Amino acid sequence: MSVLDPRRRRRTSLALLLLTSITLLSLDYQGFQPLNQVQSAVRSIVDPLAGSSDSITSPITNAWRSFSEFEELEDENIRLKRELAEIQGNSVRASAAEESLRALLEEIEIDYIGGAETVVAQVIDRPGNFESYSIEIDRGTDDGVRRGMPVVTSAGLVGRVSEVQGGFSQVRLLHQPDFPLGIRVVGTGEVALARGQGIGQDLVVKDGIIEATVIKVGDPVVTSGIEGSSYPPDLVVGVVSDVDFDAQLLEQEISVRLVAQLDDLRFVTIILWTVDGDSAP
Amino acid sequence: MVIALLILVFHLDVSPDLPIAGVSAELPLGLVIAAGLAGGVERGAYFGFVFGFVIDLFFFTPIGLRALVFGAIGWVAGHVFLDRIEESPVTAAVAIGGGTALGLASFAGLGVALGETALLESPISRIVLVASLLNALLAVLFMRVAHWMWAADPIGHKRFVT
Repeated sequence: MSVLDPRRRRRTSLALLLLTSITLLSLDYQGFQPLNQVQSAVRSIVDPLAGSSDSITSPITNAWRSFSEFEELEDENIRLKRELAEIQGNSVRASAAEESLRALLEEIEIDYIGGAETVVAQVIDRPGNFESYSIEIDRGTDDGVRRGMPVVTSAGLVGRVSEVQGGFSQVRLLHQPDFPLGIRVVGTGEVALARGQGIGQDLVVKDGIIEATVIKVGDPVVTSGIEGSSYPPDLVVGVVSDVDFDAQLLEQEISVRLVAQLDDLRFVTIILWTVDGDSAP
Repeated sequence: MVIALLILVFHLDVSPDLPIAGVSAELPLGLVIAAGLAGGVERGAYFGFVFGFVIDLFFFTPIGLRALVFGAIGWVAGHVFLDRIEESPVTAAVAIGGGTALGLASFAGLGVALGETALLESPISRIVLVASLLNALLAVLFMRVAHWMWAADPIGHKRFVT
């Protein structure tokens, strides 16, 4: 039996690893089920360990944060005090505005969430150095969650379940570029397709709203819920933040500011609703 | 395996709470490079691949991306070992710091090429710079752990004689 010379063996090893990695990537993109099962199994071992390590190391990490972020914390404290004062001052106006929005939605026979069953989930904090358009939540198929279900907070829509496993799921957030969302501008009946533009950016509607439609900054925006839509109708999305007119296409381009804060989600609610009505656990 | 598990748990739940300039240490990548430097091409490559694959299971980036990058970085680090560069704290720091920068840049580049555009919204230069410096500072520790890891691995010790 011939023995490979070391250099050739090393090159073969590298080629083998590269091929295996590419195969894994390919299987992952195709949603290969056994890979998800491996993921579930490994995580069921490591996650409890990680959870317990948190309680052991939290005194050290808290001490580090108060040391390294002292100035930031001071600034934040001042900022929060200022914001609290503003919030207190504006609370009456804010509740009046919310009441107006609810009243407006009721007036046009909007049934918020439509009485569908919901599941509350905690966002699993998995911060890495790199940004992501997704969050992970601690509910999965065991809790009746299915792929495609809408995810909201008390403020409004935040995204949609993109991957689901036994005890956890991934949620794609609305700010993901090219994430399509059918919306309706309340009061106009105008239906269009909004898309994300990245973290911290408003959604944008580039076509579908004709010149004659009167849309004002501040108009509420909800999900359209047209037939075949991935979302139930009338989930609160946001408010119109900008209106532009495209003289060439003779259409309006509008920006929509989300009412839900996507950058610091702690708890979310999954609406057990799918486009094909499959919500049974 | 125990070492890798400890580093993984630390990376997932402790390291993010100890950021420096908003960047947390990329300990797994540092360990993979040290594993290649201390153990050679094949050990570095296989360890990097397996460790990268396991870490992939915890993040939103495609499964196989870290396996690919970590495996290749471990392979490259193993060649530095085979070239018999004298091992010293400075050499280890340069190799691990440089390898971390190369690994993170490759990870971000490949990720974007695969459609993970969220990576572009990250402060990539800052992440690469700070994480590389952190790993370079921890190089001696990584090398000690890697030497101990291979010495305590009876199967690897016999199989990967270089």
